[in-house]
Amino acid sequence: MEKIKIEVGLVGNPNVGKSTVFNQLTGLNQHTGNWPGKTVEKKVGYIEKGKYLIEITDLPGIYSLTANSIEEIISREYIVKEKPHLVLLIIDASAIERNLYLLSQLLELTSNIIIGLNMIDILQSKKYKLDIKKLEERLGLPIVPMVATKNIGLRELVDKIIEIFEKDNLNPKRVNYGDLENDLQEIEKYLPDRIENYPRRWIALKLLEGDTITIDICRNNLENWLQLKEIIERKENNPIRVASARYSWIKKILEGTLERPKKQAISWTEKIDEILTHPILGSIFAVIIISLIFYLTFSINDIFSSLLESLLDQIGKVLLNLLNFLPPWWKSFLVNGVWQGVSTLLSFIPLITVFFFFLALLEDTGYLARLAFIADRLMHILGLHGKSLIPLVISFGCNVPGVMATRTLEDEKDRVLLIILDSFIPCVPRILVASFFLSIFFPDKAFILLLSLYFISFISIFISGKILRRKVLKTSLTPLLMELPIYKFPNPKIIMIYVWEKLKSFLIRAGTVMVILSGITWILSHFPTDSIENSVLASIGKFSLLFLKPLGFNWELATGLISGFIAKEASLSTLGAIYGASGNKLGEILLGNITPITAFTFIVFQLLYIPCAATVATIYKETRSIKWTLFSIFYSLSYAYIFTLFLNQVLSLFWR
Amino acid sequence: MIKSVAEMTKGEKGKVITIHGGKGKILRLAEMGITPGEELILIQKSLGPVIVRVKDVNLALGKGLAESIFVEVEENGKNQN
Ligand SMILES: Nc1nc2c(ncn2[C@@H]2O[C@H](COP(=O)(O)OP(=O)(O)O)[C@@H](O)[C@H]2O)c(=O)[nH]1
Repeated sequence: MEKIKIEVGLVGNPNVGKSTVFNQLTGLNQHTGNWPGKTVEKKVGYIEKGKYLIEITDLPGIYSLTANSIEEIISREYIVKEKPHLVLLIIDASAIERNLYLLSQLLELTSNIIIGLNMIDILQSKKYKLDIKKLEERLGLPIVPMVATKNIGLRELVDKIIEIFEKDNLNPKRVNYGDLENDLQEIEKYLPDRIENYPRRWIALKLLEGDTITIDICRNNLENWLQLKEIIERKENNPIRVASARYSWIKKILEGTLERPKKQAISWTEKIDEILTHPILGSIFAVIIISLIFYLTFSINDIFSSLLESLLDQIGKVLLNLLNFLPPWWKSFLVNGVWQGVSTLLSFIPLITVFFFFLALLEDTGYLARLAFIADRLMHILGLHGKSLIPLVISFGCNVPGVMATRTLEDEKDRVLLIILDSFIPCVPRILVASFFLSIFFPDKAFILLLSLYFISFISIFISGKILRRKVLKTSLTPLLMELPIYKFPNPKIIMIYVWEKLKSFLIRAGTVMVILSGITWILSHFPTDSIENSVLASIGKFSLLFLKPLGFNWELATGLISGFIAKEASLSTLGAIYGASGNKLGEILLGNITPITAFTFIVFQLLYIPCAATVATIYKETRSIKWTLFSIFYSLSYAYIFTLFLNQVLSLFWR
Repeated sequence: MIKSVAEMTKGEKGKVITIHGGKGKILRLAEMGITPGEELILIQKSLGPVIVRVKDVNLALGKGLAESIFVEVEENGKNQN
C-alpha cells in the first residue's frame, strides 16, 4: 500500500541538537545532497510509522530568517515555496529566550509548527524551572520535551507529528509587536495579501528590518513603492525596533513561565572555559591538541594505508590476469588508468576516517568553537576567521580533508575562499617532490630553502586572500560573532554517523570525478603509442612551453607538471619515465639539463600551480559548482605563473 | 559609567546602551541576543576577542564588535570620574 507522506522541515539555532534529533529519528535512512545551486548541504531522512512515511528535511542551523546569509534564505524559501506540512522547531531549553527569537519569525510564515524542547537535562542541571504547560498555552503550539542524546522524547515527537498532521487545526497566538503595531498596520495598507508566497505581515516586518531581498521584491511588484519607502525610512532605527519588539514579546511569554535561580551555580563549562579560553593557557592547550591530532591522523593513516595499498596492488595484479582476454591497450587502460584512479581514491579511506573522527570529536565536545575563539586573532593576520585554522592545518598533510573540513565555516563565501586558499598549502607529496629537487640542486641549503617554501605559501595565502575577497567574492571579513556551546561528552552514534557521511560523500561524489580524470590522463599519456615521449600529454607539454619557456622549463618538466595533476608525486615518476632513470640517476640527468634557478622556479611552481585531481574532485564535491571548481584551477594556475615569473626574474638578477 | 565591552574587566556586568555600526551589524547582534537594555557579563578576555554572556548564552565577539558595543556598568564604591 502506498504510504501517506508527511513532509516536515527541521529548523533550529545552531547547536541545539538538531542533527542529533535528525540522526536519532532517521538513522542511516538519509540522503545528503546540496540545495540547488548552493554550497549548502541538504539532508533528507525518512521515518516509517504505521501508514505514514515522514520525510524530514534538515534545514541549516540559523538564528534568524533575514536575507543576511544563504542559510537563512534557503530556510525561508523552503518554508514558503515547498510548503511542508509541518515545521519542527528544535529549541535549546537552557537558552530558551534567545531560541524563541527564531520562533517569532517562523510564526509570520506558517502556523504549522511543533516545538521540540531539547536539552531538558541541561535546563534541570542549571536549576531553571520551566512550566511547559503554561508555555504551550501562551504560544498555542504543541511542545514535546526531549533529551535527544538519551533518546528521550523522540517517540513522543513522532507521535505528535502524526497527531498534528491528522488533526490539522493548529492556531498559534500571533506575535504582538507593541509600539510597532501602528507602523505595521500603516505599511500593510500598501501591500496585497501575499507577494511571491510571503504573507503581508511578514513583508511589512522585513521591510522595517531593511531586508534587501524583500525590498527588491516590493520595488518590482508595487506601484506605490516610493510612498512605502518613505514610511519605512522615516525612522533610522527600525531594524533594532523590530528585534527589541520580538524580545519584549518573548519576555512576556516567559514571565511566570521560566524561573531562573537567584544565584546561578557555576557550571562545568565555565570551569573548563576558565582554562581553555584563557589567552595563554588556552593557546598552549590549542597547540597541543592540534599537533596531537595532526600527528595521530597521519601516523594512524600510515599504518592502515600501507596495508591498504598492498591490498589494492594485489587486486590490480589479479585484475590484470582476469582481463587477459582483452587487447593490451584496453587492459592497460582499465588497470593502469581506471583501476589506478579507483585505488588512489580508496587509499584516502584511512585518512578521511581518522581525521574526521577527530574533527567530529572536537565538534561534538564543543571544543571546536573555543579553538576558533583562540585562533581568531592569529587568523586575522591572514585575513581569515578563527574557524579556518583546522582546515588549513590539516591541509599541510593533505588538501583533501582540508577542503572537506571547510564545512565547519558557516558563511558560504568564507567557505569558498578557504577552499581556494587551502590548495596553496604545501601538502606532504608536494614537499616530497620539492625535497628531491632541493637535495640534488642545493644539498647544503636544502633545509633553509624548504622553510622558504612554507613562507612562500603563507605569502600566497595572504595575497590571494586579499585579492579574492576584494575582487572576486566581494565580501569583507566579518568580525567574529559566534555562540560557544556548552561542553558535552561525545556521543559515539553521532560521531559514527558523521564519519560515515563524510566518507560516503567523498567516495561517491568525489570518486566519480577522480576516476574520470585519471582515466583521461592515462589516455593522454598513452596515446597514440605506448611511449610517453610521443604521447598527447608530451605534445601538450611541448605546447605549454609557449607559456612556460620564460620560466626556463623544458618540455620534460612541463610534461611532469601536467601529470602531477593526477597526484603531485606523479611528476617525479613521469620525469623518470621520460628520462628513463630514477633516484640519483634522475638527479644527475636533471643537474645536467637545467639550471639551479630553473630548478627552484620549478619547485615553487609545482607547489602552487594546481590542486591535485583528488583535491579538485573534492572542491567540486564541496562547492557543487563547476564554476568555482574551474575558477580555483584557473586562479592557482595564474597565480603560480605570475608569482614564479616574478621570482624567476628576481633570482636571475641576484642569484650568482 | 559608560564604556565599550572591550574595556570591561573580567566578571564585570553591564547594561547595553548603544551599539555603533551599520544596520546589518546591529541587527545581527540583536538576533544573537544583544539588544539595547539587555544586561551582559564579560566572561573572558583574550588578545582581542572577548566572551560575553547574554540571555543564558555565551557569545564570542571579535575585537571590532567588542569595541562598538557600549554598556553602562555599575560603580562599585569606587571614586566616580
Ligand atoms: N545534554 C544534552 N546534550 C545534547 C542534547 N541534544 C544534543 N546534545 C548535544 O549537543 C551538541 C550539539 O548537538 P548537534 O545535534 O550537533 O546540534 P546542531 O548544531 O543543532 O545540529 C552535541 O554535542 C550533542 O551531543 C540533549 O538533549 N542533552
